Amino acid sequence: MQFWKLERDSSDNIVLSLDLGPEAKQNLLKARVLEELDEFLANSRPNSLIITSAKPESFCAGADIEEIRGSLNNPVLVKQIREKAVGILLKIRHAPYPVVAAISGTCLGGGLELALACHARIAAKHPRTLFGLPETSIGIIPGFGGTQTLPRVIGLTRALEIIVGQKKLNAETAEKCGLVDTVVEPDRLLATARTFADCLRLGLTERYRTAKKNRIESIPYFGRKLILSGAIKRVLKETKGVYPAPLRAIEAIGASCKNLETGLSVEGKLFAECAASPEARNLMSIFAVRNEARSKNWVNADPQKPPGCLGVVGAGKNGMGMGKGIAYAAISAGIPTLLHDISPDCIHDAVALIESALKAGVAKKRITPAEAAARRALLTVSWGNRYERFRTTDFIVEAITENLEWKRALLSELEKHISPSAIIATNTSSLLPSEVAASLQHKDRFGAMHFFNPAEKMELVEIAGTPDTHPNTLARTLALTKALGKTPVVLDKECAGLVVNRILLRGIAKAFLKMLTVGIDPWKVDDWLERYGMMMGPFKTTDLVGFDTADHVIKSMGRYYPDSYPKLVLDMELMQNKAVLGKKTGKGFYFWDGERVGEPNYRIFQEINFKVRADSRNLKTNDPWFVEAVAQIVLNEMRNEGSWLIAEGVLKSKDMIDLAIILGAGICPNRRGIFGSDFDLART
Amino acid sequence: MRNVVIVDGVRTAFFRAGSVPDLNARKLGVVPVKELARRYPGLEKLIDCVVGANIGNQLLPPDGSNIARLIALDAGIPQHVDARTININCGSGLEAIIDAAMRVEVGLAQCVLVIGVEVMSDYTAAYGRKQRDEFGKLLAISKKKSPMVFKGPRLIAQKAKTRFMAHEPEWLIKVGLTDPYCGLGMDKIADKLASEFQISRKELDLFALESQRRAYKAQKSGRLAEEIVSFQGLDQDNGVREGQMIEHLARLRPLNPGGTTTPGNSSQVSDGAVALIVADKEFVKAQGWPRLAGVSSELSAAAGCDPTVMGLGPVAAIRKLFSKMHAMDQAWDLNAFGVIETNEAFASVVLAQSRLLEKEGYGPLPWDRTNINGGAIAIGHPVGASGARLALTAAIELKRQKKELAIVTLCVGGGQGVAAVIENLD
Repeated sequence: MQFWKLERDSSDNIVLSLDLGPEAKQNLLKARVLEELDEFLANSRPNSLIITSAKPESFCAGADIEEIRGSLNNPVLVKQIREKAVGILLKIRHAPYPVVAAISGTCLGGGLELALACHARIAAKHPRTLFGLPETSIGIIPGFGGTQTLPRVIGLTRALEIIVGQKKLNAETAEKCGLVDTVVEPDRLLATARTFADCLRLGLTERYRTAKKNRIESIPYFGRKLILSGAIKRVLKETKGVYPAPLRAIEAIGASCKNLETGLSVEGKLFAECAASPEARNLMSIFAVRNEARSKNWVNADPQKPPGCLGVVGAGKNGMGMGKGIAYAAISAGIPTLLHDISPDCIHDAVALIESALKAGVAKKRITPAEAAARRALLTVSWGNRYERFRTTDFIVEAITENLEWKRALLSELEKHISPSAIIATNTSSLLPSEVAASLQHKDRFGAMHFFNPAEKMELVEIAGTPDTHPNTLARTLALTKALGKTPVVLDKECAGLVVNRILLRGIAKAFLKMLTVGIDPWKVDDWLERYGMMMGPFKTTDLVGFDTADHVIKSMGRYYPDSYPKLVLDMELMQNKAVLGKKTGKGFYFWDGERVGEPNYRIFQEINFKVRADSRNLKTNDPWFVEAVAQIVLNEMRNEGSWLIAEGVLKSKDMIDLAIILGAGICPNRRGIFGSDFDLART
Repeated sequence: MRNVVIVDGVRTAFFRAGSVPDLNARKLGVVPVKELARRYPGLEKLIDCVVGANIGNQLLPPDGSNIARLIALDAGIPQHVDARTININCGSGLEAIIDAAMRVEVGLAQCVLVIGVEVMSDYTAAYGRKQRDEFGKLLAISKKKSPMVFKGPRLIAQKAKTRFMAHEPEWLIKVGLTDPYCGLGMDKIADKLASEFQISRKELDLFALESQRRAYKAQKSGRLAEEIVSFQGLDQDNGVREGQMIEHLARLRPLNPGGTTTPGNSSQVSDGAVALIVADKEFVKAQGWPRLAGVSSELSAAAGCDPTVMGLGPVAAIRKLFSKMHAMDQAWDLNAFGVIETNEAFASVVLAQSRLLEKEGYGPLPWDRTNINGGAIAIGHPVGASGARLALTAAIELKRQKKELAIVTLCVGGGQGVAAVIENLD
C-alpha cells in the first residue's frame, strides 16, 4: 500500500497509519487512499484494527476538494464516489473485529466521518487536535454518513452546531460532549487505543453508545421538530436562504432518527442535490482560486524570507483597530512586533485588547498559557513622536489615519531612523500609494499593503507597488503576508482605493445616489442584495464603517475619480448628527447592539437631512420590481468598475478581482463574486 | 588626584516589605559584605574606610545610629576602621559611592566599602509629645513611694486618661514619605507632576507594565541573578510579577481621589542591601582584582529643585553635570550614554523627567537604553539601597553591552537630585 502504513503484531492486531508523504502538509482522503483501505478491508481479518495517522499535526483533513471539483459536473460519478466511500465506512462499522481511531491533529470533514465509523475514538491532547465538519462552507453537506452518525453519537443540538454552524471542537470539548471516548497525552495515544480495542473485543465496552439527549430532544417527536425548525429559522435569518447547503444539511440531520440505511440514502440524495447546485460549484471554484492566490509567487522576484522584526505605526482608535489587529496577527504568527502610536492612550487600549485576546485564547484552550506568554513577549510598544526604536525593525507597516499630509510627514520622519534595508508599507484604503510616497528618499523600498478591518480576522491583504517599487520589496511584502497566514492579492498596477474599496465604494455611491434621486427605500435595497448574496448591503456597510469614515473615504475617492462619483453624493453631509454615525454610536440606517445589527432605523431621514429630491416621493418606490431594478443597477455599477480595473490593467485577472471582493467585502460568494462563473467580459 | 574604580558589587534580592519576617537592617546588611569577603579573601584587612547609606533604620536600637559601623563590625572588619552613614534621602546609596570615590581621590583611603541598606518593613512608629507626656505622668505616679491609699485615686484617674487619649502613633514610613517643608506626600507630588506634564493614567500604567515586563525578562534570563546573593535561600526579587497585564494595573484605585498614581505605577516599599568595593586604581592593580567600572566624583552632581516637584531633581542634577562638562569643553547630551538608570520612584516622575529633559534640549530619555532591566516599580525601592543598586546594575550592563558610558540618577525627596557618570574601563 502506498498511503497506508501497516504494522502487525504477533497476535494479529493491526495499526494502519495514513501518510500522504512528507511533501503533503495534511492528510487527505484521496480516491486512491480509499481504494487502498477498501482492498485492505476486503483481504484481511485482523484481531483488532487501529486507524491513525503518521502525522501528529493532521489525522485527516477530509476529502480532496480538487478531486471532488473535477467530478462535480457528472452526477453519476458523484453518486458512484459517494456510494463507494460510504460502503467502505459501513464495512468498518459492521466489522466483526473492533476498529479504533487514534486521533492526533486536525480531524475534519471526511476524516471525522471515518473516525465516526470506527467503534471508538481516542484523541491526543495536541493543540492542533480539532474536530469539525466544514462541508457546508463550500456549498455541500457531509457526504460520507456524517449527518447520520454524528447526531447518533453527540445528539441533535451539538450535531447541528458542528455541521450547520461549522463549529470546531478541540480535544477537551470533544470528550465532554462524547465525540471521543477519551483524551490522552500524545505519547500514550496508541497504547490507549490498544487497550480500548481489547476492551471492545472482550465485550467490556459497548460498541455503539447512544448520545445523552438534552431536555428538549428527549420530548418524543416534538422535541426533534422543535430543534430542527429552530435551526432552520436561524439559518434563514443569517443567510436569508442564499445558500442551500445548510438547509439540506438540517434536512439530512432530521433523517438521522430513522434507521441507518434510510438515513444514508436520504443523505445521498441531498448530497447529490447540493453537489449539483451552482453555489457548490462557485464556492469550490473560489476555494481553488484562494489556494492559488496563497501558493503562487505573484511577483517578478525570488521568494523572500518574512521579516525578522515587524514595526507597526498607528494602533487605531476604537475596537480592535487596524494597527492592533496587524500586531496581534503578527505575534500570533511568531513575528516580533513593535507597535507604535503617538498617543499613549491608544497604545494602552491596544495592549489591553491584545492581552485580553490572548487571555481569551487561553480560556478557550486554543493556546497554552506558555504560548500566550511567548506571544505576548514578542510584542513591544512605544509611544510619542520619536521613531528611533524603529531602527531594529526591517519591515514597517504604517496604519495611521487616512490623511495625506500626516502620512507623508510620518514617512519622511521614519525614513531617517530605519535601517537602509527596511521596507515601509502603507496601509492606505483611499489614497494613491505613490502620492503617499512622494516625500520618501528611497521610493524603491515602499509599497502598499492593505489589510481589512478587523485585521486579525479578515484574511485578505491587497498588495500594490508604485512605479518605483523594486520587485524585491513586493516579494518581501508577499512573504510577510504569507507568514501572517493571510491571502494576498497582488495588483499589477497601483490605483487609489486599490481593488476592493474601489469597487465597493462605487456600489455604495450608486446606492446613495439612487436614494437621493429616486428616493428608494435603503432597507429594501439592502435586503434584496443580501438575498442575492452580499454579506451586507451597501447601507449596512456604511453603518459598519461609520458615517465619518465613509464620508472621508467617499470624498477622497471622489477626488481621484471625479467622473465616477456624482456631485450629489459628494455633497451629501453624512456627519450632520453626532449621535447618528452608524455602529459606533449604536444608530445609523440600523440600530446596533454592540456588534449585532438590529431593526432598521426608519427615523434616519428625520435625523439626517438627506436632501432627497422632492418629486421622487411620487414614484412607486416600494414596488418589488423597482427595488430589484435599483439593486441590479448597484451590482452593475460594481461590475463596471471591475471591468475598468481590468481594462486599466490594475488587476488583469478576473478571478483575483472576484476573490478580493469576496474575501474583502463579502460580496456574493455564492455567485463567485461580481463577475460570476458565467460572466463574459466581452459582453460589457 | 587618583583614579577610582568600582571593583565589584553584590546585593541581596529586594523583598516586598513584610514578605520576609523578622528582618532587620543589621542582619540584612551583613549578607552582601560577607559575600564580597568570600569573593576576595583578605578583604576585611584591606578595607580602610566604610561608607554606609541608610535612612530610616537608625532611629532606635537594636540597629542604633550609624548602622554602617555596626554592619562593619558584624562583618569582621577591624575595629580601627572608621565607618559613617550618609543620609540625603533616596539618593543616599549613590551619594555614598560618590563620597567613597571622593575619599579615594584625595587620598584619605585606598579601599572603601560602600554599604547601602534599607529594611522598610522594620520602620518603627513613634508617639507624639502629648502622648509621651501622659505616659510619663502615669509612670511617675506609679513609681511614687507613697501608700496605695493615697496614690490609688490619682493612678486610676491617670490610667483612665491614657486609655482614652488618641493612641495612633506617627508611623515612620508615612512621615518619611512626606515632605515636611511643603507638607506634600510623595504620592501627591507624583500626581502633581502627572497633571503638570499632562501625563495620562494610561501612559503611567503602560510605563509600569513595561518596567514589570523588562524586570521579568531580566529575571528569567538570569541577568538579575548576576548581581544577587542569596539570603536565607531567597535569591529573586519578589516584587517582579509574572504575567502582569495592563488590565490589572488599570483596575487599581488611585492613592489620592482624582489622582493618577496607583500602587501599580509607584515603586514598591521593600527591603534590600547592596555592598560595593570602591578603590584606588593602582591599589586594585597591585591586588590583582578585576575592575567593574570607573567612577569619579568630578563626573557627578547633586542639585536642588522645588520640593513640591522633587521628581524633577534628576533634571537639575543632569543640568548641573552637563554644564560642568561644557565648562570643560565637552559637549554632552543623553545620546552619549549607552546605559541610563533613573530611579522609578513613580512612573509619573520618570515620564516628567523625560519631558522636561526634552524641553531643555538634552533629548528625551531613550527608552531602549533606560532601565533596561526594569526599575523600582518592579524590583522595589528600599530607599537607602536603591542608589547603590542602580550604580551596580549600570556598571554590569555597561560591561555586558560593551558600551562606554552610563549615567545613574535619582530623585530625592525634599527637592534634590543626584546624578553620576559611570564609565566602562575595558
